[in-house]
Amino acid sequence: MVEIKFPDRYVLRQFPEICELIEENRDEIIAAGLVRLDLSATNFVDPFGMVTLIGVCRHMFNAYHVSSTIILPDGDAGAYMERAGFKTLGDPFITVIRKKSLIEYFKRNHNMGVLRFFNSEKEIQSINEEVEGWMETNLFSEEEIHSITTFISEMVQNVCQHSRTPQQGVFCIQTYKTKKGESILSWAIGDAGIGIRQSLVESGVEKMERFGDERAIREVVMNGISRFQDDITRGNGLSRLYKGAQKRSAILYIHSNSGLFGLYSDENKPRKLEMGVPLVMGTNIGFHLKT
Amino acid sequence: MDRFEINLANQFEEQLWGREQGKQIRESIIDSLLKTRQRVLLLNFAGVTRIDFSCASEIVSILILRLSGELKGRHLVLTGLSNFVEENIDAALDKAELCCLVLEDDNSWKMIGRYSDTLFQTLSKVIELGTVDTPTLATALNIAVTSCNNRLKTLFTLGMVYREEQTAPTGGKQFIYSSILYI
Repeated sequence: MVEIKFPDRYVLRQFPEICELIEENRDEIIAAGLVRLDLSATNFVDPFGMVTLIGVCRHMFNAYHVSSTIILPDGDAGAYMERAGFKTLGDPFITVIRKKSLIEYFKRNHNMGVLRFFNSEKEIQSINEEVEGWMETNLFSEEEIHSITTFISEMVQNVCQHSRTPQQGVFCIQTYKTKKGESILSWAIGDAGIGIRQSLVESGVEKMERFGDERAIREVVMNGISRFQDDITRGNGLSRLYKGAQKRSAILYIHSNSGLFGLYSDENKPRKLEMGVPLVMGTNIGFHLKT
Repeated sequence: MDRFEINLANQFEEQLWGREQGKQIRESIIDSLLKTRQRVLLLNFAGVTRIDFSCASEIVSILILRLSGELKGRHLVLTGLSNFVEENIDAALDKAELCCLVLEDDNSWKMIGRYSDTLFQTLSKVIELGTVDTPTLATALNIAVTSCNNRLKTLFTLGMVYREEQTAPTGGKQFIYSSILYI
């Protein structure tokens, strides 16, 4: 069996590293038919980490019929993940193992909502009720709650309407107040579908054929390109999410198949992110805000 | 030409999410509107706490686009918008390069969405004058009749002014334009 060791923190910026490790070991993983994703030395996982961890497992299964075993972190991070829903994941090709009893850690973790799986727009209301609850508890303003729930609604719709994901979409949120009094909000949403570029190619959007995934994401984000070229009301979701992230100096990662596009912070200065990554089928979006 | 009012929170939901829900609401609104003789639809958002871009597009933007089709001769005014709801409707209209008339609680009005200064000036003058023909309005705005005609046509297509054909003093036909507010 091939083992992929995860770093001590698995958050937004570690995702390319994990994609590289999967790619480096791909042939061996396919030959073995099983991969072990070892997070035992990981001490922090954010919602993007949770969502992409499931995304990686789904990619391995959908593309290569490879099953995955996830070794949960030993400490608080493992408690987080277990409480979030890793104990009862519905995907039959994922096995979750914990090495230590996490009960004592479990009691200390109240910052993260559970993983929410969805396959219909009708679930937006209940997802956003949970988001509102977490944000109110951590003293986010009504304006922020309104904006964030709008963004999440649009992203859920993208998954339901366009992704053609073989497994349900997944959403995760984490929010808390730091000792300095800063409110932290981090959420992520993912699917194992065909990806943004392929969705545009299949709907006949010219020029997408010659673009890579990261460029396709850029076109959608910067120019509001949509699958529905004759519908002028379309194309607001990702472009508004990007503007919203810019306005708030938030970190935004939009991963789709082999492309990554978004915004990150470098020495407290906002920077644009556009890069290729080894293929992990599907689309994953992470948003991290500090107020 | 009195108003037909629909209160979205009362008739539908306080939280309006997604295209599916937006489509259902729009079709219900159109069905109701087509059954009435009233020409001005007052869409009241009082009590609506959330609406996303997609739902706003389906309800407001596509309704406006239908005003030049199956709903020709009907008009749309929005009211009861909270700041948050207005922000997302404004974004939806902006994406579609459309605009709409909003009636505020104190009976003042404004436009939201994407519009030019000249369109705003023209609508303001129509509302100020109440009822007006094109040459009179062109004189009031100090612009050519052709320009004025184009602006009025745009406002009519967007459902923001009422238009009636009358016999001109010269014997030909002319349109008389009226404000759809304060009716």
